[in-house]
Amino acid sequence: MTETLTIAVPSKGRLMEETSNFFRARGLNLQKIGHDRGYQGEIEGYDDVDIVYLSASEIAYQLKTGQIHMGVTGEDLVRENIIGVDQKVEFLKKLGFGFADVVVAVPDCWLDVRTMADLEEMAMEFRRRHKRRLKVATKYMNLTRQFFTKKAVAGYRIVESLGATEGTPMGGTADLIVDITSTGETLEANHLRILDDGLMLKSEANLVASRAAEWSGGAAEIRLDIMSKLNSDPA
Amino acid sequence: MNDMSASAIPDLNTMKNLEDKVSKTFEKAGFEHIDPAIMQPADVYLQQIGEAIRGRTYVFSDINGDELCLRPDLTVPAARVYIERCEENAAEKARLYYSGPTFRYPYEEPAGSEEEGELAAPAHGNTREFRQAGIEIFGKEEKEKAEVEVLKLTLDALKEVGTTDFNIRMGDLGLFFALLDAIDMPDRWRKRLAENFWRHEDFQNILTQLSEPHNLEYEKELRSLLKKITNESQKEAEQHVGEYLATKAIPLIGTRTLEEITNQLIIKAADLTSEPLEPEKIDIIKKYLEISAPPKAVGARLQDLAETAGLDLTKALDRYQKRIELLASADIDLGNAEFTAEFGRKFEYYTGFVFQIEKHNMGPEGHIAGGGRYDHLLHSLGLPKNIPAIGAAINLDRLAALIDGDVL
Repeated sequence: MTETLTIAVPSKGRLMEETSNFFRARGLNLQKIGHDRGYQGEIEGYDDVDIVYLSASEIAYQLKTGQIHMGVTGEDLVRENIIGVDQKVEFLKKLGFGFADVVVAVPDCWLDVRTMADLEEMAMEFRRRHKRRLKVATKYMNLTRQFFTKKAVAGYRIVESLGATEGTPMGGTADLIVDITSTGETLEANHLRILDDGLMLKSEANLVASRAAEWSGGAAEIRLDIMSKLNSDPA
Repeated sequence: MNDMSASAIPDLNTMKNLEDKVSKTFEKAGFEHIDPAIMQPADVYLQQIGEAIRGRTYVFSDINGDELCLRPDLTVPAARVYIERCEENAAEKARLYYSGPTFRYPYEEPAGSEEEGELAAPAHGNTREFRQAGIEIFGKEEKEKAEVEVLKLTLDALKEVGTTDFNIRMGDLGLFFALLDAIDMPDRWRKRLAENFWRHEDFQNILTQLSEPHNLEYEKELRSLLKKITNESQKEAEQHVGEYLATKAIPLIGTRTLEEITNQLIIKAADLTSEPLEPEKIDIIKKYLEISAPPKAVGARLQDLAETAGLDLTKALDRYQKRIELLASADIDLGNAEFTAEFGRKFEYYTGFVFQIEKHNMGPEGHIAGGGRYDHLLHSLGLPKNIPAIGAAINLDRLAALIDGDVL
């Protein structure tokens, strides 16, 4: 087997375009091999690099397992999907696109809840009255649990939500949410407000290296070469 | 996953022998053998212990979408067995014992995990499962008597398998709550302190907050709303809050009613104008939490504390002394025992007497048994009222490791 370095990049949408632009501006041309709708690619002039096109969350998963050496994906997905993240991967570079804040948001009418501490205080009362814990809708189960523990909030339960999370408090399936926002417009439209100390993570697209991947046999050297290009000023 | 050994138990003979001896001890004392289900509805744990449970428990869904878990302990499953009986026939009292595997995620949660592996970290063998044998007494019994009985029986079981050299650590959450009740302060503060007792850092923060003038940072308009509702009747306060929402065009969405929101705002408003909690009172709380002494000496220490502070702790002190006397008449050697006021703060469901049996200088691996009183659990698991409950469990894997390592 020849020694190659495998880099995964997002397979669709804005993230794919911006990744491609970022690489091209630094002298690395990503291109697909074969059919335009295929998922195999290469960097022009680099025989020893394989590009694979994957979904952003699959990239996080494969970074954890070490199937790929490096990948471009959101910091939120990496931190959510990899427990003990610092032992498993290394964040190499913030890429300056794909910005998203992961935030805790409550109904705007909860005038009594401005902070996470207010939330916990109210949660106890809520549980006494409703005989259940507050329901938090989110797709970020691990991040939520870690952040709430850090903020000493315990009186809640997570309801997994894979879409239209902002609508859940109004629809009644949850009481508050943890979700990503970029402009805050969707939150506002659903009468939700971010807690004063409810910013969990300022996320953006990152270039990430897997510590679990096989780095001996040339991959480490190719990585140095690629990184020196990516760290250079854009053309 | 290559850290998953194929066998759950490295030395089957040692384990069988241990299990037999411990079970026989429980059986002889009149406890009834039960076999709670290994797979449990995750909902019970999530409601009771909260999301923290996901950090150390195997929670999964079946193809129907139902959330299940592998039991992370045996107390909640045993309590469910009791509750089921109560629903079938009004079983009031039960003395139960069990022995079997429990399952926990072997990795440390990042900072702030609720439990620091008291009975958690498995000792050897498969790192994802470990065996516990334990007893539970449900229903009305003389409290101190039941507490001493459970401790005694745990010690007997350990003696039966040859463990003799250990420390007993004790605590009593009931004492703390009695102290809190005796200190004069607004009820809402007492509630906050009591409910946050299990979270060290938060508890400290609340103490600090209460000791300072309340300059909560509210935006101007909200501040004036709070002023408006100070000393108002519930109904009028609600009206003010309703008007505030209307002028700001904020719709009332979600489960919480205007009344609930107003109630919490009234509490905040009261905090804005309350005098801070006096330093002497905070001092008493801190002094109490610093107590760490031989159990027999604690009574006098508490008496002193109560007298200097002018607090009436007679009832709680009487109970404490009664327990000490019962411990002595049960021939429990308190020479190697220590009472620590802080002990028991890590387990949210304990409400009174707590204990742990530890091998010297071994850290968590030496914590071979533990237990305590948890009078609120059955109610919150679904029974119509609080039922007294106390229990203890022995970590058989840790015991087996001690036997294998010849450090009994």
